[in-house]
Amino acid sequence: MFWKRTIPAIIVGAVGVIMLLSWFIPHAPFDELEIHATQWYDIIASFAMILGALNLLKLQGRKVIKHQKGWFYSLAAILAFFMTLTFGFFIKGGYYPVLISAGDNPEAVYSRISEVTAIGVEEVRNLYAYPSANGERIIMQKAVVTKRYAQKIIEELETLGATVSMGELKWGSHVQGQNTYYRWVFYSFFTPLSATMFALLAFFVASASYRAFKIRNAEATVLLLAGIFIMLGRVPLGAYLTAWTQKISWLSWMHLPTIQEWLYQYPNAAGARAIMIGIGLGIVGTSLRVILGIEKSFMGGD
Amino acid sequence: MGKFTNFLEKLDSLDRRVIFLIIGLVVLIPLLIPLGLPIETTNLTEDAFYAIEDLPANAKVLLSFEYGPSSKPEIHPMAVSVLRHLFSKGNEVVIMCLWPDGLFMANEALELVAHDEFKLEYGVDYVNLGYRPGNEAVIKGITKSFEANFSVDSRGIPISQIPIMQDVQTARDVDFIFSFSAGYPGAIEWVLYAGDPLQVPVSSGNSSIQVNQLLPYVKSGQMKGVIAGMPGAAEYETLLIQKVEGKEGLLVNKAHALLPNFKENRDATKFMDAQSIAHLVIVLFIILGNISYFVKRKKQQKY
Repeated sequence: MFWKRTIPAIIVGAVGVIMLLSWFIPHAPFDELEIHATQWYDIIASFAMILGALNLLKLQGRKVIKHQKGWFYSLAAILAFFMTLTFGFFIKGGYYPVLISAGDNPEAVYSRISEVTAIGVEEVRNLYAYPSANGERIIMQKAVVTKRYAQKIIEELETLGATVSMGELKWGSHVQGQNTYYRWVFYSFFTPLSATMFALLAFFVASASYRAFKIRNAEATVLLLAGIFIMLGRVPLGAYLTAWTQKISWLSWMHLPTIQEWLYQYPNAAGARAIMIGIGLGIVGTSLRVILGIEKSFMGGD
Repeated sequence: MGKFTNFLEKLDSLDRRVIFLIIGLVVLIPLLIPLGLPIETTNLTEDAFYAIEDLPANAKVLLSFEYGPSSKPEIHPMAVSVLRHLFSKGNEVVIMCLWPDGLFMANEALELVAHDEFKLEYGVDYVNLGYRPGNEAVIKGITKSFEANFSVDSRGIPISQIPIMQDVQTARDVDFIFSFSAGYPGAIEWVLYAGDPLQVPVSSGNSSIQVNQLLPYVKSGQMKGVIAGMPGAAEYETLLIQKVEGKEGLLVNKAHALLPNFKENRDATKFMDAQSIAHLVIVLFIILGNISYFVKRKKQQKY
């Protein structure tokens, strides 16, 4: 109990008080605390990510082994996890030829580069005839992923008289490099999948609005009218349909974007502010409870 | 009359696949056949636009990317427009990401605007510091030191060797902070942990659903306007084109040459037709659903 509860509570309380004090003491060592705390947070967060990954494998793995309902989705999750891990840590790709000199037959070299990179010959010629600091590397990276393919292109360009060397993205920068496996995973799997999930919302919102947005009482009526004004007032069609009201001064308030902006800026901002003040007070209260050791639920257990 | 009432009554149990089909069509058709509805600008977007517009030519701006592919259609056009605006004025840009997928979004926007359009030099005119985990702890960290949090940039270059970072030791050294955010951590964290403590102006571009939470900060002046969802992005595109067309304010030479490009590649404006019609159809659905509900309730009261 002492090691599991009391010691963690003392550490949390002490750190909380010290961090709180650092806001009011702009002198060493307190003024440096935020930097150290950020780095500690990074280290602890890294361990938390490892724990999270292990937990994911444990839960999904159990589903697959026991052939529980939807086990194939769990299998997909595990495979995707290992695929991303492999391309992030073990196989990176990102090889590219670096053109040092176009040689005696530059037009043939430019033409081949144009084919490989799918960039027009004219643009390639401009880039190589007047290269910028790293222009050469940028366009070659667009076409090549594997070492073998990069080597093949190098040999082809050398046959045409060019002097070419092999370039390779560093570990770390491969995550955002032009043509790496990690990037391929991001753009070929993650991007379309998450975009699809989000796009489905439009369909469900339409269906849910049709079924649930009913005038059952006064509050529901206010909500419904506000929703309609916001939905129409935020889009050009709303402005277009009520543009005529702008020509009659006493009707100008009926311009849908005007109504929408008023709703946004006044009733909505007031409501949002009230909620935020409530949340802020809640955070202060909870933080004090944690620092004083009253709140211990974050340690887990009963 | 009876048949019509029965029809209205049956509408209440309309198969949701019909609704899905109609929504699919009303989104798809305006994308294929644009209506070209005019875009009217609002105060929220204008405030954000002119906050950037008022920055001097040598100002350094910190852009933070906190969105991913799911919110890309809403927020990416804002990122492209804000980058175009900043580079049109000759401002220098420091980019960082608090979301891991924000790095990809930032690179995509930079490749289009900084590399392809403005042909700027990496490390001199702009830099991408990449992603760091830690949410608001990273924001707090850079208020004290960039180097302690980003020892290298996203390309693995030590930031001590990057020319643009020589004058940017902490977040206090930037003139403006702009957050492209689709959730947590995002714009609110930038106001709380960097903007307010350091007195650096902050603005943001957000998904529509977040704007409610941000308005109190805008009203109090803690945030200089906000680009609200895709409509806000379309408004920003319109304001930028008006500025370049009218040759208003600071403008580098390249900007005017890029005007046809700005006009051609404005995704948010193109998407607004589809969103307009989709919103109208959803409103019609709501009205229809209520008529059906009342007809049904009236019938039930009769018996």
